[in-house]
This record gives sequence, structure tokens and C-alpha cells, in this order.
Amino acid sequence: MEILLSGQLLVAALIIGSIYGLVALGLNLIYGTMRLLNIAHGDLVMIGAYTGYWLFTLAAVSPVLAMLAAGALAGLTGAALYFGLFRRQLAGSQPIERIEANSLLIFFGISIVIQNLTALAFTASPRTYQALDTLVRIGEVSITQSRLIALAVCLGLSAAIVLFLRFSALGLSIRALIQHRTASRIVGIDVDRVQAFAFVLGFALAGLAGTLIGVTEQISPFMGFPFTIVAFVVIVLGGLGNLAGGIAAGMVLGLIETYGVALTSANLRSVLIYGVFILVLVLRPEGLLQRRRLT
Amino acid sequence: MRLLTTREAVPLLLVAAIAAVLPLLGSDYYLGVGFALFGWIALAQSWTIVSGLAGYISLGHVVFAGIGGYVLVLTWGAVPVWAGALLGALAAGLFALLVGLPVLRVRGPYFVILTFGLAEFAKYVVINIENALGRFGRLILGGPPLETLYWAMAALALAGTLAVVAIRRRRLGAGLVAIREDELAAGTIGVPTVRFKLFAFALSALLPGFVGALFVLRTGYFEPAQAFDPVISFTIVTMAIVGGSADARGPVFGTLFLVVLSELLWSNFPQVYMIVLGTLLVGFVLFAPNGVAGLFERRWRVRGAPASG
Amino acid sequence: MLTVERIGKSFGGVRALQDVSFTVPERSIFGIMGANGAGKTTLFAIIAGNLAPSSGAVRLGDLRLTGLPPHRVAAAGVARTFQIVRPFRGLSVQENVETALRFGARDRPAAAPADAAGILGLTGLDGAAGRPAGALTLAQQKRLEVARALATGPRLLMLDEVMAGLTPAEVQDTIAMVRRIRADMGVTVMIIEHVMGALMALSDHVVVLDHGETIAAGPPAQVADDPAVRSAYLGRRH
Repeated sequence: MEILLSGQLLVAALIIGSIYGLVALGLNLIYGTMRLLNIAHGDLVMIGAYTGYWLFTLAAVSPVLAMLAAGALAGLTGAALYFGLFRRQLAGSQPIERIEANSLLIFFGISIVIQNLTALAFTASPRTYQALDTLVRIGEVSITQSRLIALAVCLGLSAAIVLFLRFSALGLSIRALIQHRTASRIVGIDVDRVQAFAFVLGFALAGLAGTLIGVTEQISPFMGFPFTIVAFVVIVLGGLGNLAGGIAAGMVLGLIETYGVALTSANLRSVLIYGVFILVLVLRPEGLLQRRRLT
Repeated sequence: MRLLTTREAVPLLLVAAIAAVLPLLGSDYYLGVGFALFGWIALAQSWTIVSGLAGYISLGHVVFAGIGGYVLVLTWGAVPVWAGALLGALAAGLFALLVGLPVLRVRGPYFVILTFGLAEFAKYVVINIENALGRFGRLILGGPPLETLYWAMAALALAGTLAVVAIRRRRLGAGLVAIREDELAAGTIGVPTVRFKLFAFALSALLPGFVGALFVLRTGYFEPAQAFDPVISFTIVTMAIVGGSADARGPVFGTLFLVVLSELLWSNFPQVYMIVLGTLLVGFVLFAPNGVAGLFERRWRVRGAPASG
Repeated sequence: MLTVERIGKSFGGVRALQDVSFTVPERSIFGIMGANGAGKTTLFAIIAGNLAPSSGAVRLGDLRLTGLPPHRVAAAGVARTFQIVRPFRGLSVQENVETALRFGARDRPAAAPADAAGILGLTGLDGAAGRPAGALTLAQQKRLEVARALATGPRLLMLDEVMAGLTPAEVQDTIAMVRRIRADMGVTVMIIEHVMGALMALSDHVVVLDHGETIAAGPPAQVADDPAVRSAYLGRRH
């Protein structure tokens, strides 16, 4: 039982939670501004993980630098998809429910394509690599350098983005879009530009987080979906469009997962995460369906 | 009862004709292809009941097939084979009834992603149960021969096609379509939305439970990660969307098209096959939302439908 | 026939309706007036079972409607239209009406038209029967709302601003249509309308809501002269 009280476990939970928070932040940005549920979000995490893996294995590039490249690569993917596919969808005259449902199917197709392209290029076998694995001792807790960096980057970046959204002009436009799409257009916000920015930023964050995840976890073409689910749980728990709340919710999920697994068994990790996901959706659908219709 | 309309007769006759012709080719290869083809038709038709008609898009339909397969292996040896398959179907239907009430309250994109999560959840639960039992895959020896399985699956495909045709004619079908178009308005004109959705969900689970059991009998093997593979759900959705999911023709057209593609690619280039599937799904959603069936119709119609909007 | 008893409704602290009571006599045309946000549509939604009231009850004859799901309310013979139209967009006009014909009231009044052709003729949509509902003009979609509600075979028909946005000639047509619905089919009609003249001309009784409360009720002429109505509603608007 004493393991439950150890600082080690708490720090592990915080690290996982901060990563979840950052991954979810990206999904929340895209969902909040465009109501597009990016089911391929986790696949960007996967792309980020592979970017880190190859840059390190082939060119000995540190994951700290590789994560910038991964962010850029994922961001570019986002830009290509936004301008190639989704801008037209969003600008169309279809009812929003139809756009939402269609986009979900499109993202599902994209997810399958990304996964299998990766498997085709790099085989489906899981990979791991050792980078930044020096142990750092803080008091009684010892963690690898890579995890410490992940914690710092995720917390720092999440905070920076929340501040950016609160204080910069572009950030305010994004928040306006999250709160009220139609009104944003009326008050003169360049909706298209803001959407493109949120889309690219959301993708970039997932890619960047992916590199950090890839250092500590097994990398495979099919590793992504659990992260989509996790991100989804987090944004529901934290409140749709509530970006700061999402970061806190990421921590909560990190704690649930870490302590849940410690109390039971590592095999039950997926059961736990999907279980929380189902409970959250079934018990709090109104938390998701915030756009209430009166008639 | 009215005679069959063209759009009802075409898929029924097509399924019946293929079922009659394939065995004449006299090779197990064609029986195997036919078995898979009919399996997918039965799955895609079942999906159409809840997702095509009622508009509740399920990305987790594999869960019902997985349950059917699992029940078959659990009852293997204890009950006759066909009773086991039937139990599998009933278990899948029962599962749909139990989870349906809470799950079908969730709408739109949340329902879609919830179904995926539910299927994955079920997969990991079964994996953990099997691990706890110390079972890592179960072998089934002495199942029915391929030809028997072929005819059973053909019957399921026909049953699924017939089910969609029959439901569309009935009050249930009209109500489900109304739910798809506008659930609030549907309730207000008197459609018992909760009951209809639940009924459709349970109906759409029965045949997949049976199909899942037959899949296991064919491979002679049950392994949870394979029986609950999300790729199966994805394939069902793609087949139905490519075919056009508004009536019974779609699943038949889409499945025919993709099974041919699968025969060409799957065994040697599985990833290429999946990439083609994903691209087709994206392409059809974007450019031909009514699928192959819709494309045919557009060719034959004199005047184009007015743009909706 | 319809009794509204002390209905209250609040949305997260905001009171949309407070203590609203009235009785709608059989075969009457019953008007509901009020500025935007007065709670008129909320009231319809509560009667139809789309919304649960925070307090109070609605009865149709001896049957308590409150607590019933919308389809049971429809089965009891209550139909409504939606102010913001909600046609089944992907279906044709004819299919919209046919769907409603297959559901709706359990006991249809003998005089209710039982086929789509009759209903489409009555609502002036016979020329558009084959068109997808999503492709209709707004005026046609408002008629389709009425047609679909009628097709459920109601004893009580609730019309929510079916004349808004129509030309004066179309308003006259609609007034004639509502009168015909009552006269030929014996349907009781409740009507929300911003077109004041039309409402006054049609209604036998009028209730005026202001910020969720009833401030006047009675025959149109009497209500129009009511000082509270003049200051709260007419005074502000004219």
C-alpha cells in the first residue's frame, strides 16, 4: 500500500496528466472553434513520436529539438488538410449537424490512411529508443530526464497558450469563435484566418506532444487512438472550449489512470481509460451539448 | 402487400443470384470469397438499420460480431454449433438493448465516437477476462464444412437485405428516417423516438452477432484483438457509405465493389487496401454522399435534384 | 379542452414563465401575444412535451399531459409547428406529410383528411409535393409545418408564427386556411403571431404574456383596450 503514498507515483501521475492536458488542448482548440471532432488527433501524436524516433536514430537529434520539427510537420499536415478539405466543408451551407457528422467520417478515413501509410513506410512493429534517460533525483523521487522535460514542456506550453488566448488579439478572436461563431463573423473577425490558425496550432501541439510521448512509450503506427480518446475525455471533463479547465482535467485523468493502474494491474489501463470515457459521455452528455436549442 | 419496387428487388435478386452462382464455379476459393462477401453484406445491412436509416452512425459495430464470436467459443462443446451461433446473436442483441438506453441518449458526433470507445472497451474487457483465465486464443476444431458455412452466411446476407427492405416499408422505417432528419420534430409528430432507436439498435446487433460466430467457425480460432478489431467497424462503415446507406441497395453495391478490391489487395498489400478504403471513405463523404447507388440514380434522372440548403 | 395550470419554467435561474394559467375552449381560436422573449414558444414546447415545466401542469380534457413524452402528447391529439422551421429536409414534401400521417393522434377526428393529397391541397403545397423539403422557400416551409402538424390528425393545433415573413396576400391566405381548418375539421387552434392584425382578426380569445407572466386575457377587443397591454406591449412597440 505504501507505494500509493510515494512521491514517485504522484510525480508519474503529474507527468502523464500534463501530457494529456497538452494533447487535449490541441483537440479542444479545433473542436471549440470549428466543431470538428478530429478523430485523427492521436495519429498526429504518432507522427510526432516517429519524427522524434527517426531524428534521434538517424541524426542523433535530441528530442528537445525534434519536438519542434514534429510540431512543424504536424502543423503542415494540418494546413494541408484545412485548406485541402475542411475549409470548403465549413464554408458550405449545410446544417452544422451534417458538417459535424461528415467531418467525423472524413477524419476517420484520414486516420486510417495516416496509420497505414506509416505502417507501409516503417512496418507495423513497435519501436522504442533510449534518449535523455539519465536519472534525476529530486528528494526521494527519481525520474528520467526525458520525463522531467516532458513535464516542464507540457506545463510551460499549456500555460503559454492559455495566456496567449487570454491576452493576444488573435487569441481573443479564437476565444470569441469558441463562444459564438455567428457573432464572431458579425463583429468583423476574419473567421477563416482564425480557423486556419486554430487548426494548424491544434495539429502542431499534438505532434509536439507526440515526440515527448515517443521517448517514454512504445511507438507504433496504431498507437494514436487511445490519445484521441484521452483527449476527448479531458475536454469533456474540463468543459468544452474551456482550455484552462482542460489542463486541470488532464491532471485529474493522469491521477485516475496512474492510481487506478497502481491499485489494479497495468493490463487494465485501457479498460480504465475507455471506461472513464464511456461514463463521462453517458453521464454528462449535456456537458458536451452545450448549444442548447429552445424550440 | 405491394410488389417489390426496383430498388428493393435489385439487392435481393443480386444476393440470391450470387449465392446460387458461386458454388457452380466448383472451387473452395470462390466459396471462401462468397462467405466473406455475404458476411460483409449482412454486417453492412445491419449497420444501415441504425446508422443509415436512423442516422446514428456507429463506428463500433464490430462489438456485436465480437460478442457473437466470443459466445460461440464459450459455449463450444456445451451446446450444438448452431445453437451456439444463435446464442451469440441473441447475446449481441441483448447487449445492444442493455447499453442502448444510455448510449442512444448521446447524439450526433458524440454518439459516433462513443460507439468506437464502447467497442474498444469491450475488446479490452474480453482480453483481460481471457488473460485472467490464462487463455491466449482459443482453437475450435471440427466446425461445419465451408460449404455449410457458405450457405448459412448467404442466408444471413439475404436476411439482412430483406430486413432493411421490410423495415423501410413499415412504420418503424418511416419513424427512423424521421429521427435521422430531425429527432425533435419526429417526436413531436408522434414517433416514439426512444423505443424506435432502441429497437433499431438491437435489431442491428442480431445479425452481426451471428456473423461473428460464423467468422470464428471459418477461421477455427478466436482471439479477442482480432474478433473485436476496429478495422472491421471501419470496413463496415466504408462499405455502406461507398454503396450509399439510404436503402438496401447500398450495402450490396458497396460490399461487392470492396470485396473485389480486397481480393486483389488484402492478402499481399493489406496496408494499401486500408489506404484505398480510407481514401474512398473521404472521397465519397465529400463528393458522393449518396454513394454508388446515388451515382446510378443521378445518371438516370432527367432533371437533377434541386440543390438543398 | 386544454387547461394550463400555474405553469412556471426557469432556465438556470432565468424565469421564462411564471404562474401562467388559462383554459382553451373547444373549437376556439386562441391567440397568444407578447413581445420577443415573453415565453410564448416556451409555452408551446411545454404543452407539446418538448420541455418539462419547472412547476404546474397541462391537461387535455381529463388527461394530464405534463410528464408525457412528446409522442404520447401527439397521440393524445396535440400538434405543434415550429417557429424556426424543422422540416425533414432530406424528404420530399409528400414524404414529410406521409410520415406524419403514419404517426400522430390515436383517434383521428372523423373530419381530418386522411391522405397527403387533401392536406397538401388545403395548405397550398400541392404543386410542390415532389420537391425536397430543404429546397422550399421559407413561406412554403412554414406551410409545410402546418401540413405536417395537420397530418397527425390533431384535436388541438398549435401554430407558432406561421405568418411571420409572409406578404400581406399570403397572410390573408393563411388566415383563410386557419379558419377553414377549424370550420371543416373542428380542430381547436392556438396561435402565436406577431402580425397583430391577423391575430386580432382570427382569435376568439387572447392571452398576453409579458416577461413570462400573464398580464391580460379575454376577447381581442377587450384585450386591445387593456391599459396594461397598451403600456407593456403596444406602447413599447408603437
